[in-house]
Amino acid sequence: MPQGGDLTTISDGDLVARCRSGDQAAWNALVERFSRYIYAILTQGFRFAEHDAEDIFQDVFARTWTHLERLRDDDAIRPWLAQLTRRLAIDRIRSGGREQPAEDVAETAELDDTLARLDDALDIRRAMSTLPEHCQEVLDRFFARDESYQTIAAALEIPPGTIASRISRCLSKMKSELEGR
Amino acid sequence: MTDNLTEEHIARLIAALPPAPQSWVQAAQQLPSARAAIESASSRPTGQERTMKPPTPHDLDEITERIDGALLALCGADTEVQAHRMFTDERVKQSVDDMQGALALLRAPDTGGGERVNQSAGQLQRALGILRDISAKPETVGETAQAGYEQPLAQSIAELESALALLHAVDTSDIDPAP
Repeated sequence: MPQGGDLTTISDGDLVARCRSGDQAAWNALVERFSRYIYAILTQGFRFAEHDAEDIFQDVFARTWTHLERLRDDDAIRPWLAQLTRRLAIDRIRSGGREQPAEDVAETAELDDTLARLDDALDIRRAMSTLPEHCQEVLDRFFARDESYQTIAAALEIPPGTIASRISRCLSKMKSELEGR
Repeated sequence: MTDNLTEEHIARLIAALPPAPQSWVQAAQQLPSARAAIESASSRPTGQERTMKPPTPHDLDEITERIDGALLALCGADTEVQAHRMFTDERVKQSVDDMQGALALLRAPDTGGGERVNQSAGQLQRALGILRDISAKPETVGETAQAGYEQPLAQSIAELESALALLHAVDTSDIDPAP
């Protein structure tokens, strides 16, 4: 779930700048902010098995840390990360001898659609961070973590019968939030 | 994109980004500190690499005296001849060379830098290592050594250990490395 403090809401550019200055908390926030996105690109876009995905995931962040000094546009960290992930994924496919040529995987319309969807999903996640904490929690647990009503109710210490209505209310809030932008 | 989304669509997009495994996230977050630790470990001076403070004149006299003692025990008055007489082993010659080299460094007029002290300590340690090795494995000396080598060898080792202990006593890591 979102971390406390300003780091969850500051712009990508400011977050990158703080990372560059050696701020460990900022780096933690940056990893937190983009970890789902990178993970989804690898597992949904490229359909890597977990062990391959993990290698690339770590490589992406290792290279990001190394290249922080050389980023030309801090605000463009997101497309930069997406491109880096894509490139490393293709490298892995080539080195791993997958039957499907890397170029085919990388250029399919399906992959492009998936990546576009993940971009939208990341926008939604950003918007979610403006919701009250309890809404973020319940929406994330139910939809992203696929937890049952029972599990959510136990974790949040609320009656299971109230979960569905909470989800519905929070979704409405989310929709209003997006429409008000 | 976010305009005119239905709640169903929003729900699908939230579901599109499940969390990455926590262990992956933590590992990525620890990258900077892990790298810093590695860099620190690889750049930290250890043992001989640590810069040594040049000995005071008094310390220097005592250290060189010990080295002289080690040489004397091993070679007698004539280092060129005696060492070769008692030990025909090339390793002993090497240790004598190292001790003499260390002495020359320590007695050089400009022995003010930690670099020279480091270098001489390295030579002394190598000499000591050789002598200890011979002492621990007398069978490797065998017939090439004259009888009665154990005593001078032990004495030489003791003197060298003493000299190195004195050098290390002035070893300090709280001074700036020599330029």
